Amino acid sequence: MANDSDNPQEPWYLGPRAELLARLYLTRRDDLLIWPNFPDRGQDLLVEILRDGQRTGRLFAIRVQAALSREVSEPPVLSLSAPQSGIYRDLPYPAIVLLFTVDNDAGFFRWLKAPAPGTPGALTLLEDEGALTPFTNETLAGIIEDVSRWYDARAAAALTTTA
Amino acid sequence: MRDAIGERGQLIFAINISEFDGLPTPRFRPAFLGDKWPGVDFIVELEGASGFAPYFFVQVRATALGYTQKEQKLRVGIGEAAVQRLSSYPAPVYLVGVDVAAESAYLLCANEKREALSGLSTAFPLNAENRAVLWREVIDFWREMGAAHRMPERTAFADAAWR
Repeated sequence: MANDSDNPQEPWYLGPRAELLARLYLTRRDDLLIWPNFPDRGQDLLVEILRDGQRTGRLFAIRVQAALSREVSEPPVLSLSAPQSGIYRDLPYPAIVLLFTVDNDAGFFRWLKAPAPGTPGALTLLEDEGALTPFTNETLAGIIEDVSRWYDARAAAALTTTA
Repeated sequence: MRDAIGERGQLIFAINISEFDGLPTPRFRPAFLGDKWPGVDFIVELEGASGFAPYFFVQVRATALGYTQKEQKLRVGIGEAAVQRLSSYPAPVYLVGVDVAAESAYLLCANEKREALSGLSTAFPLNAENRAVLWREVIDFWREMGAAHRMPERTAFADAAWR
């Protein structure tokens, strides 16, 4: 939390505290493995879903954003500071953004690259600006289910193609 | 599994100690010293002390085993050698026990302790009230230390041209 050398203009508590809060949610579950950070690559956390404690290779990316509660509109909307289509366009797995208001620990989320409805194994790149929904343990469970179903559908589609 | 509990304990402590408690910024700025650092896990700087930068050290012990039946102490311990290393620091040093299931933390001052500890008292939860007490306690220590032991008057490594 003491490292603010990447952005000396930003208060020290914003980014690091938001990432800690993201990790707190993720580590409440025993079926997620958090990979080491990938700074400056548009994804802050890379998460792998485990099954029975074993790795599955089923990844999804999380971009963590921080704000103070007074800076967040009602209803909350996130505008990504850098256009994300370039970074996420070619990402081969789902991605979400988590916003934490670090002064009251509230969390919000939305998809950046979402499982495409109706097209098994496809992903939809979402706009840079969009509405956020509250992030809770239940929300995270839903995200993991959606990601797992996406991988299942992709595997099934690949089998169909092979056959 | 033990590493996961320890890491989660460090995470919970870092979030807890950097809470805003209704203030414009957190009172404390923690920095993890790394797993290889002997004796202590965190150095924590105080914010809002004008003119100087008070700090203290923390060792975190985490558990998923809950509390003892009789005295309701948190089921963490620290051996005699580790206590003596911890209490050898001339700065304020605290032992923080973390219940990783409840995501709660409790602290005890470890200065000048000699004996092993089996079970951590839950008399001092790391909540807003005790964070305020802790802040005042550490500031008062350094104010008294600073007045009695002014480094510029003691050091052999001085450049008179540097003011």
